Amino acid sequence: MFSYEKRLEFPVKICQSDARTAQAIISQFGGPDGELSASMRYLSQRFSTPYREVANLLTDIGTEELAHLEMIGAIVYQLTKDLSMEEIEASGFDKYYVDHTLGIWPQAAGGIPFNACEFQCKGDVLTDLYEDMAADGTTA
Amino acid sequence: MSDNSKKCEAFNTIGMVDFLLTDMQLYLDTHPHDKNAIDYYEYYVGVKKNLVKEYEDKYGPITAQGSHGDRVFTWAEEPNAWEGVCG
Amino acid sequence: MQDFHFDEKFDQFPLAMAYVPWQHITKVYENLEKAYRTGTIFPELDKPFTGKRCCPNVR
Repeated sequence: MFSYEKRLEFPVKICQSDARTAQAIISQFGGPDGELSASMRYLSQRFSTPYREVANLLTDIGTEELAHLEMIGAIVYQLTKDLSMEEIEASGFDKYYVDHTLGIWPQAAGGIPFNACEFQCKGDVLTDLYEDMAADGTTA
Repeated sequence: MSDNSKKCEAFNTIGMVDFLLTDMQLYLDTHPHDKNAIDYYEYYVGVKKNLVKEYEDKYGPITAQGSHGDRVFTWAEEPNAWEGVCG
Repeated sequence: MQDFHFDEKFDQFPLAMAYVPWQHITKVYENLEKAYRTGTIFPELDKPFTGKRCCPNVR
């Protein structure tokens, strides 16, 4: 069960539009090493985890990753909401804009839509933990 | 300090305290017998509860079940988290 | 924090497995704002992104 607090885990307040930065940061939203991938990874793996403290750790981490997802969404939203059409065309953001306008759609920076191939849930606790270390270790 | 900056300071303090709880919670998931950590955690749970009550009584709900002092269900009217009101 | 050097104990570890050291708390950041900005309350987990690879042999 999920409950929601109407605040970001850490405040985001961006006053300067930047389409190029938004195009890169969107990978952290819907890309293979992004927060949606992270949250789905942990929240999926926990069901088949045999040790309760590990399963609960996966629940807690997955929940926090959803909070991160929200922050990244806020970042992309604030970076793009005031863009002019000239800025959109000049930055290459037009390729995203034509399909999504200023909507926040989970994809990697290169355009691949978010999909479950971006994570693995193997049903074996050690394998799944290796997957977690590979995913989160790369951000260290 | 203006009203809005007092509101934002209270709001951001809640975020800061909740962050400590989140970090310590992950530690406690795998170290459930660490009494010092549990004391730390429970202390800040209390701090957060008080901060949230103070904030909600004055400014409105942070959770849907939080305080709606004026008998108006303002949950859906309050600015959303991504709008960058309190930076 | 448990104090050991990588090369001292690692030859006793079975091959072909990944290991995650166990965390032992010694202290947490007392300055809450610093912890919040840093992204962790645990000094041993304060590993800022530097944009380049760090030293492979941690001592």
